[in-house]
Amino acid sequence: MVSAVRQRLIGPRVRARRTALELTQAALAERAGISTSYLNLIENNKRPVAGRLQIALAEALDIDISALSGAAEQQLTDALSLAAADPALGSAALTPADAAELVGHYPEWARLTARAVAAYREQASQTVALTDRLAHDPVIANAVHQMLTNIAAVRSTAEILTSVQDLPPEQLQRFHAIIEEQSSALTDASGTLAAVFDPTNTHLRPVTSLDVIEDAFARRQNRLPALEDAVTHLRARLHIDAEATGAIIDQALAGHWKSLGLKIDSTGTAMVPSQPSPSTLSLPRAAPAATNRAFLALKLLERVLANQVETELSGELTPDGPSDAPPLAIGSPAATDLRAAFVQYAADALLMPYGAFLADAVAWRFDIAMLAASYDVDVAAAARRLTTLQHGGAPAFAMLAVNPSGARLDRRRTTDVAMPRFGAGCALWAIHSAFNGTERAREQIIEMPTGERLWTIAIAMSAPGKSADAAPPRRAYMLATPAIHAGTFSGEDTGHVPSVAAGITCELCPRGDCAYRAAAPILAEITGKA
Amino acid sequence: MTKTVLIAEDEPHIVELLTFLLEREGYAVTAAADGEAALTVLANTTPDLAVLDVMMPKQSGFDVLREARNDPRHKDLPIIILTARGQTRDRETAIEMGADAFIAKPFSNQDVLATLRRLGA
Repeated sequence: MVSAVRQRLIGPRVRARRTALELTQAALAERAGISTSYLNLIENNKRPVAGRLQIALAEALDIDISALSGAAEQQLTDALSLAAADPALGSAALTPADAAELVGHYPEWARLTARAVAAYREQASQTVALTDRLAHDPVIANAVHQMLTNIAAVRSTAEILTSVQDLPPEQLQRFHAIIEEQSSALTDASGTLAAVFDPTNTHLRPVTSLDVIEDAFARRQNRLPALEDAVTHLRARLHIDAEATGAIIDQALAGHWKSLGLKIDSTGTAMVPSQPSPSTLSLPRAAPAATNRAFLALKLLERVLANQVETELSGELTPDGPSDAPPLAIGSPAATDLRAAFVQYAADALLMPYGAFLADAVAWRFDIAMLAASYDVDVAAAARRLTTLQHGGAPAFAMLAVNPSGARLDRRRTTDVAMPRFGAGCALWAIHSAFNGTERAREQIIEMPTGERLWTIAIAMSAPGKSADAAPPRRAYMLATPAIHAGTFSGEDTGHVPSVAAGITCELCPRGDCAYRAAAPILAEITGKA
Repeated sequence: MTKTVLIAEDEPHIVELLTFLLEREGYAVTAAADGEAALTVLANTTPDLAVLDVMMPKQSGFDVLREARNDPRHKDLPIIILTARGQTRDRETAIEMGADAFIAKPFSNQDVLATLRRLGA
């Protein structure tokens, strides 16, 4: 279900664009492959527009799908509504209707407000991380103590030298020596402190490949338009239309693979995922068709989209690219992992075309399990794909993937929701209990200590095993978005969804009565008696 | 009669500077380089005022303060706490534990002398 507000807005947008292009209803209807009367109903908001129809209309009107769907305005309205619901910022006098009005009448003011809120959130999270460090880092504590002591000595000496006139020469010499020694100690202490705060040395910078990948995707709002376009063109070239089923896709991909002079060996028993650019692809007969398809898509795109992937990657490798982080070293493990993540993105795009997947995702209320089954992909792929849909008007989803130990395997963040980067995550999240449950996706509302409410959906899966004998490794995936967004997209109350008073990690959570507390809260110390 | 001030501070230059300042004002100074030495001084003498740094080896300035307040001889000893640490929290702790004044580093010489005079030493 698309929200009522958004549906109302699509008709006039279609009409305005059509008039601007000086097209008649009949001409546009023909271009979009629908009847004139149906177009008339759409323009009068008598028929909803979503999915393939929306794509066809966007193409016929030669505009971006998000401009047509009003997704950009909707996102802005959602962002403002969310800010209004934030107990630290908002007030009861602000309503979502006001937000829509502000966006409609004063879009630049609305954007300014949204930008200011986003900047505030970013600063607040950086402050928490830095406060954490300042409060606990013995190197900083010692260096600060040392510096203040040195400054005290220098100041005191300087005051004596300027205020006392009758100093004997040997005393004068002694005070000069003190200033020199204390200045030297001050230089050492300040050097230590400067090193701690060196931007290349703070723990807010990416540390692992996981951080690098998450940061690179976050800078792109988890969507890579260049790769989307390349994949759309490839699908067209291979005649894979939107209705193509698994077997047809298999045939098209295998045909293209062979047209490149490469071979496929379907008699083998094992997959060799680590082998870079194999000339003979081993697709074991015993493996599920979906697993082989995903692997073939990955290996094929690794070759045919190599240039596009390198272009995307080059932005991360040079200081003047979109990244504000230090550039990745060419050939470094993190750069290799990021390249693989971009190829993975393209493979996901190939198997789950944007417009159709968006329409289904909205219709099925972002049920990862149903989407995975429908597109014959694994839960991991469906979860990753869901994080890319905010551009099309769906909520912006953050994603977390863990193994049964709670170790993080993959992460995506959004402007509103960040997954824990350090320490253990909150044990109360359904992503952890998902390992005990069935292969059905479960919704959960997480109430954060700040009063913010997150709508989440979590599910566990079995990844392809290394061999038939070994138990397949288990993983769990979770998507999260502010509950206010969940209400917007579903048009339903989320009251039926079980909710839990939780946090992000123990260290950042002040809930003292939690049965799962595993570490002392830092926040209580910060907000407690100073 | 000359008044005696105990200075407990592990940074020798600070001790030297405070000693110079206080002696020019007519005080006698007993210095202690750490908390333990300060407690030894308090066990054997009754100074007229004490300046205690918080962060010292062995026993902190707060430890010395606590011991002094538990000793009937030093119950009314004017005590100034000197610190370079997180100031708000240290100040509250110091006052709660019975210190008479609190001076944060880096201090001005005039502040130290004015505080000493205010405390009647």
